[in-house]
Amino acid sequence: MNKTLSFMKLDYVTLRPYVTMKNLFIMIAVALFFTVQSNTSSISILMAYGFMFTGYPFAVGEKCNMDELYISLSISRNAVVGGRYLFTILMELCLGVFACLVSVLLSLLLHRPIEARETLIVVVTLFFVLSFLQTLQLPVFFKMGYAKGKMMTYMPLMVLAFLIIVISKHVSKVLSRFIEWLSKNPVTAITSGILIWLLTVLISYQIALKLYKKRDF
Amino acid sequence: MEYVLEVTSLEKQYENFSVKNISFKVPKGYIMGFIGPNGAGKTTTIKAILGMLNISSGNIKLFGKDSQGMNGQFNDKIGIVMDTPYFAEDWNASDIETAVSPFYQHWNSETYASLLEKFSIDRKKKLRDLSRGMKVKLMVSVALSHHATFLVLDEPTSGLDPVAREELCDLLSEFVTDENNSVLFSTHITSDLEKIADYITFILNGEIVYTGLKDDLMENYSLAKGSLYEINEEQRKLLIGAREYSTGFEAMVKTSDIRKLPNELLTEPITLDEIIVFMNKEGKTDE
Repeated sequence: MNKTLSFMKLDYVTLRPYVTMKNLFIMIAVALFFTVQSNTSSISILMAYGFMFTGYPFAVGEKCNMDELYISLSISRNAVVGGRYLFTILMELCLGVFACLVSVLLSLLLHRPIEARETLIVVVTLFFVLSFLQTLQLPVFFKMGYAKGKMMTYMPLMVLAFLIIVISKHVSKVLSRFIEWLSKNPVTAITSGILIWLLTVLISYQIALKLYKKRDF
Repeated sequence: MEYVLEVTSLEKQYENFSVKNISFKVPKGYIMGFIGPNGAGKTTTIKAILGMLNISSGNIKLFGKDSQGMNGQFNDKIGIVMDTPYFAEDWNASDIETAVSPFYQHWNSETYASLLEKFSIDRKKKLRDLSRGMKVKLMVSVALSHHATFLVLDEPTSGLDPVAREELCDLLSEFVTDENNSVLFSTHITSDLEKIADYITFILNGEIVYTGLKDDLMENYSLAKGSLYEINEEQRKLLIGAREYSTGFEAMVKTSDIRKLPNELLTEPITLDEIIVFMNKEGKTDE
């Protein structure tokens, strides 16, 4: 476990050169632009950054042969995959918290009411949706690397968008009944949501590990 | 004799290339040169030893223990310098220390700082802004800052100027003055090894053609020059990788075969570079 945590730190050090004030200002500026529409839009765009950053450690790692570094440091492949998953989830969580803070700050600045419940629901939902998409992306990156896997990892996004557009029209009644049921049974909804999310992460992790163990560097 | 590395019957197969039946040992306290032309299988072998490749078959022992599933047991003892650095290009020397030091039990910041100073490496300069020579020196600094007793270097001198190569060779010679330290040094620039290596392992077309003492290898072979008219067909078969010119020929011969050749031929000691060239030429002729 120590090596997994140390690997997370290593991932952070890998990305640190990109965590600059300039990039932070760009993120806030984009969020500010979307705040004109609504606070939830700015939250969505900030959290979407996390999704976009998922490929960064793979991109830097591939460009600089960092898989060789991990081996030279005797970091097991289990620790690399586990650490990368934890780092990705943690990054999404941090961006969720950051998005909440920015949302509150912008509400204060723009003299809008702070809608804490709505903000929390949006952040939690986005966290689950985006991290679910990341669980689809990560095994592809572990198998193919960033350059080859990049295009393939956008497939889940396109499939999801397609499903939302097509299915929502046809099953709107079922969907609205399902949402109604969820709002009436919040504990069951949250518990099953967490369980499904955990199961997805675990399956994704196992697939990624199996694929990464087969790779030569 | 104690060995830091024992490779037995190592095989790794790719679609178009494979290394076959690789066996050699690196004795403790010595420098072993790992030589061969480009594409002979040096890097594949080294990566297999370090666990960067899934090997097809064979056995690798590091410090007397099976390297499979070494999971953190040996990284403190092994210093690695690959031909291209495996650090993020946007890291500087301080970032590298932050990144790697938690993984070494015996990381010594003072040693690292003194090596950076010795090599005149600016701590704040990003890796991407360093010259090839400086990058190698930075990797060597990392490799020597965690009390490694076995250095594995894959083509560290390619692309370096003679001064930088000399510095690196001096450093390795100094490293093995401690009898617990050993080096496996892969290169195709063999003049470096002639100065510092005690042992040589020679790989050609994915197979080991020699492993043993460097002096034995160089004594086993000689360079023969002369006119082709001076030798008969039987004697021609003794020539290895012969180059024919309008004025005569130049070839490598086994030193033990010299007495079978005419006295008129000029024979002289051979260099490692020449051994590689003639062996490679002979290999291609056989194909």
